[in-house]
Amino acid sequence: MLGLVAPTSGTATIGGRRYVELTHPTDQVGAVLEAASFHPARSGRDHLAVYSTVNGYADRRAEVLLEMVGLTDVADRPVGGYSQGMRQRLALANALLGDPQVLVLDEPGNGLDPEGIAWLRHLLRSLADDGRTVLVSSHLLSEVEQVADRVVIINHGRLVREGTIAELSAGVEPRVLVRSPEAEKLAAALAARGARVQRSGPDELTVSGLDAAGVGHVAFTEDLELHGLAAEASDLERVFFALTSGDRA
Amino acid sequence: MTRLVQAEFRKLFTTKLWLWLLLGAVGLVALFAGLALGFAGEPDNPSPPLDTPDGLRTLLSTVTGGTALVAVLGVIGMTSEYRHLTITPTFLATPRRERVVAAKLVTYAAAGLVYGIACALTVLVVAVPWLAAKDVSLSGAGGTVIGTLAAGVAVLAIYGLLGVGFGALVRNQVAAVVGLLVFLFVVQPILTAIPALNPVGRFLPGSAASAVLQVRQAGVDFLGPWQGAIVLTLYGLVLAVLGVAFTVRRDVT
Repeated sequence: MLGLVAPTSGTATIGGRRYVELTHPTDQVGAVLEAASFHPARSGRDHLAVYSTVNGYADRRAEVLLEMVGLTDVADRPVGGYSQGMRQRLALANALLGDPQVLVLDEPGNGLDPEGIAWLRHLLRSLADDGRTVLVSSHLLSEVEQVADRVVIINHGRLVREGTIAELSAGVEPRVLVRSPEAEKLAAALAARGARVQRSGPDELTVSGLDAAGVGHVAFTEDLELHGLAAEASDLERVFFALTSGDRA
Repeated sequence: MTRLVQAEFRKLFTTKLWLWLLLGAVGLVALFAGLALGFAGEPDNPSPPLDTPDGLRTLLSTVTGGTALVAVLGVIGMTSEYRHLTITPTFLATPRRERVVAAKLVTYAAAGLVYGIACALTVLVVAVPWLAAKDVSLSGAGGTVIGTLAAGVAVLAIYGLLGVGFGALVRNQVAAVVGLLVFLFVVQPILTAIPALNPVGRFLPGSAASAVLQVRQAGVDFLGPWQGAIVLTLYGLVLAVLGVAFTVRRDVT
């Protein structure tokens, strides 16, 4: 897509032109592909200076970005001493030098601590809210679910599904996890109401066909004790498995 | 292209490698010049005496004592991008990859020129007082001095070019540096030492450099100085073109 690897077939265009045809590509597309693309002996500030020079960006821009990604204090230290998270931030600053409308990020959350991941999520959100296109590839589905507007699922190199998270989860029935010491009786009562019930533990049931409120109501009217009741989390992960399980054999 | 060259200079000067290699080159030149002066006039020294133009030229040709280090600088300038994966942001900023190689050729030729000037000054600092002490007069030899040192500076600039070209072709840094040194210090001396191979040997980089410096050596038939410079430059450019054609366009992952 960015002209680094020759495709087996097909072309990718950005704003209608192939990446190699763009005159100042980093003005239009910013990319973070791996957070290891630094000379260990060069400082963070110098790294940005090198790539500012190529496209004639003002050094001031690099300072603003160092501030934004929180690296101003360590900018003069060699990158060799940076943590994985600091490298991610520096790579992100480098991608933003040209103030591009399109961002391509490969696993941007790698190596970030929980605080860093929350920071990244906010940053990506605000970049997208400015009207930019932010393309993130990730294996961490719960992370994607929290930031993405649209999702493209690719499995073994083939496009599986594409759409908003709501559209994708529409194909998969919501499920409710319920825990009760009287799982046996509860299962029978739920089945009588038309729900499909699976035993997922000694005192745990996975229910589809009824939402959490419905399951709670059944338990209440049958006078059964409940220890837990929750709609199953991480929809995207289930969507993924539901959509790709056929290909795994 | 100006910006690309500026960026290459920023890459070069934001790590310390250039400084260490420059100190190394200057040190080697001082050592070689000192040895040439110290052993001059010894009975079993085959070099021509210092008070002849040939002898003076041989002494001054120690200005090229750091050629291998300039070539290594060029090789590392190219291959370190692959080693540290900075080739990814570099090619993202400049997707027309041959322009990156061209900018590096210009940059490292210029760096070689600067190394050359430093080495020429080193030779003068070592040789002028020492020759005065030996009562060898330099009056009337100004043309030889300036000509030989200028030729040496040119040779170093071309070696910068050669290094980048070799690094473009062999992008693995360790393989490129080791390969270069083995060629310069093992393969080339063997090939040049065999008289039967002289028709080929005179076209080797080391002999071409000697030709530029107009060094005379018994039993060896060097090219003319301009021919030598052209042959040497062609090595760098041909290696760079081969590198762009076969190595630089390969996938970067």
